[in-house]
Amino acid sequence: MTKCIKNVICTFCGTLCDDLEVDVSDDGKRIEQVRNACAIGAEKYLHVGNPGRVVVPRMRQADGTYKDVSYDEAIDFTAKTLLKAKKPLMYGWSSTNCEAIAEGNVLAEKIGGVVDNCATVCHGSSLLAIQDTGVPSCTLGEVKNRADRIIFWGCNPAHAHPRHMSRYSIFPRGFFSAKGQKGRKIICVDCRETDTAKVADHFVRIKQSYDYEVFDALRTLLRGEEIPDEVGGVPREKLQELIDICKGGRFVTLFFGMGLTHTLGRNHNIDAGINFIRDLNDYTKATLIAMRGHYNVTGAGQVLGWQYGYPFACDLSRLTTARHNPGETTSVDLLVRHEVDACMVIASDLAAHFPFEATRRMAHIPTITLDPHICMSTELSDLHIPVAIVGVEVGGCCYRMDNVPIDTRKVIDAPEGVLTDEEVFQRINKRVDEILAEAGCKDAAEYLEYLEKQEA
Amino acid sequence: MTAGTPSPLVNLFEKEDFEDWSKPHLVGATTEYSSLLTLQAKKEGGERKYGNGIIVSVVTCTEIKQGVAIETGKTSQGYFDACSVIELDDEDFKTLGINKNTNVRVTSAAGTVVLKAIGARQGLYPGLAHIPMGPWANIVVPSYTYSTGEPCFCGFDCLIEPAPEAKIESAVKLMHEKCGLEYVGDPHYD
Repeated sequence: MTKCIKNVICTFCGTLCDDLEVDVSDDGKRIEQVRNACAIGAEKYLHVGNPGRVVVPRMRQADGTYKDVSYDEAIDFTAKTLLKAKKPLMYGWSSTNCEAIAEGNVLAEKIGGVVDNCATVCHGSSLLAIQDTGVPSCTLGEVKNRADRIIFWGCNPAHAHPRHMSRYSIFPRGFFSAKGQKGRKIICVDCRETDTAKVADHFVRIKQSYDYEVFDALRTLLRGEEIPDEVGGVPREKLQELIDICKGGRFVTLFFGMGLTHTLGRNHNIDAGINFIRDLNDYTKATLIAMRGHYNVTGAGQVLGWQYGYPFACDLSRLTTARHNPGETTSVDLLVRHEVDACMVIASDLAAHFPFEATRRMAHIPTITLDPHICMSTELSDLHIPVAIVGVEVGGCCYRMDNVPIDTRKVIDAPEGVLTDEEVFQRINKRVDEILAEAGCKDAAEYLEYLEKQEA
Repeated sequence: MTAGTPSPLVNLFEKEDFEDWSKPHLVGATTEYSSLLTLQAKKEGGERKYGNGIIVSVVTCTEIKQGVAIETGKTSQGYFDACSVIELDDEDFKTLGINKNTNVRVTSAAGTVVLKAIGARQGLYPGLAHIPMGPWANIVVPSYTYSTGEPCFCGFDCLIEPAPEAKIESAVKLMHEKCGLEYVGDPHYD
């Protein structure tokens, strides 16, 4: 007999669907079936039982092969490596729970590291623009119940957030949107005719990297001024049509994604987008939401935000103050400029998703990766510490893309002996304290001096 | 591309700066490099044709096949199939003079990688190409961040040349080779 667990929260993308049904075996060790999930979510739960799962830490030898070590050895190695480093980078955090992030920040503060999350290569520019301009936002529940004009700009939920359209943005029937899709007008703006564009009522193809110009043109039209016949490959009439559709709505929501943050303009594109939405509020209610990728990248920003005041790229290497300077304390720049001398990758895959120039640096400095699975980062690290999977084998708080905290659930037991991210950080913290106490040092800076003296 | 190896495109430029393009402090030249690439192609007499290749603007985005493969495992065949490809517009296949599913060599200011050229799964236009996010794409992604922390994942120029004989490396082997590490394989997936 299998046991059905209802209302499971899917920990894959920022949509954090909360209606999954998972059948688990009687002993609570295997997942038999997953219902209501998208293709990616289902794979996330079903692949857990695949053979080849790493259950003990692995350390790279001089000849390139890996040797299994105990958690104690792994934690000791991590503590020593981080303490020895002058400026270690702690990157990732977006696929773990907020409890682990908070515990990891304690460690970063002790060892004087730079804490950066996936937003740095994802929605970091959006966060910069939000700091500059503010954000007229709402929750996804409001979108479902009220929105009748949806704009997808530079994002592709059909592929990246597969259930976003059916749960919140296009198809659902809500309190004030009883007609569902029929009552909504969907606009998609992109340089590719994506699968999302195929579902939309209006697809506007703009030339790659002309987003800023098009936003500006829309704002100009909204104020009743003249624009050229064509902007960014879009004819004036089409832009005017868009304005008319938006103005005619009761509730407009703009979803934007990597198409804006990765192209030329970066935060200025988002700036223009936010100001467009702000202008639109003179005529109707308008809001915007960033399409956050990983399920808890928002939470990583939230925790850093309330602890240090900055949502990403937080440099704690001065031990007394937190600094945030995009372009200087951001992971890619730090790695490319060779400014960090050790690296810890937590619950993310730096090696698979950073430009190669940054990855190459990471491969040549001492690197520790915390990840439940084998990934590119683990294969280039000196140490791979396997952990339990959040949302499957351990619960915890995660933030949805609209900044709503959701408590995820445990479905099955983790393999015997495998620790959670939080436990690993607690034990590293304890070990760091012990090492500092043994050396009679009060902080990491003193410990570095102590090491220099020892060498001399 | 490992440090010190010259780019096959280096001889394109007379400017001395570009001989050192692989050095980290010069990554700021990315945009200039891209426009130089386009200018050079124009000088050669075509809009985007250069030598036996073409110059396209590349975007790297996420895809559902790649998303599923990430969960299956980054060393899986599914991940290899989903990510080691470059989508080109039908028009660009004609300009290149190759059939679909032919291997091509993709070169940018950042490096060179061999990928399989396939037809567009989601509509492109001539001169725009798409590589799904992943280790293969990142070999050619320039790392300059315009002081925002975000590299140029979308909208960088690449030279695409037919390379039917060249082999596409597996993700882990590719990363090891490019990083200058010895690839010894692993019992967990080999």
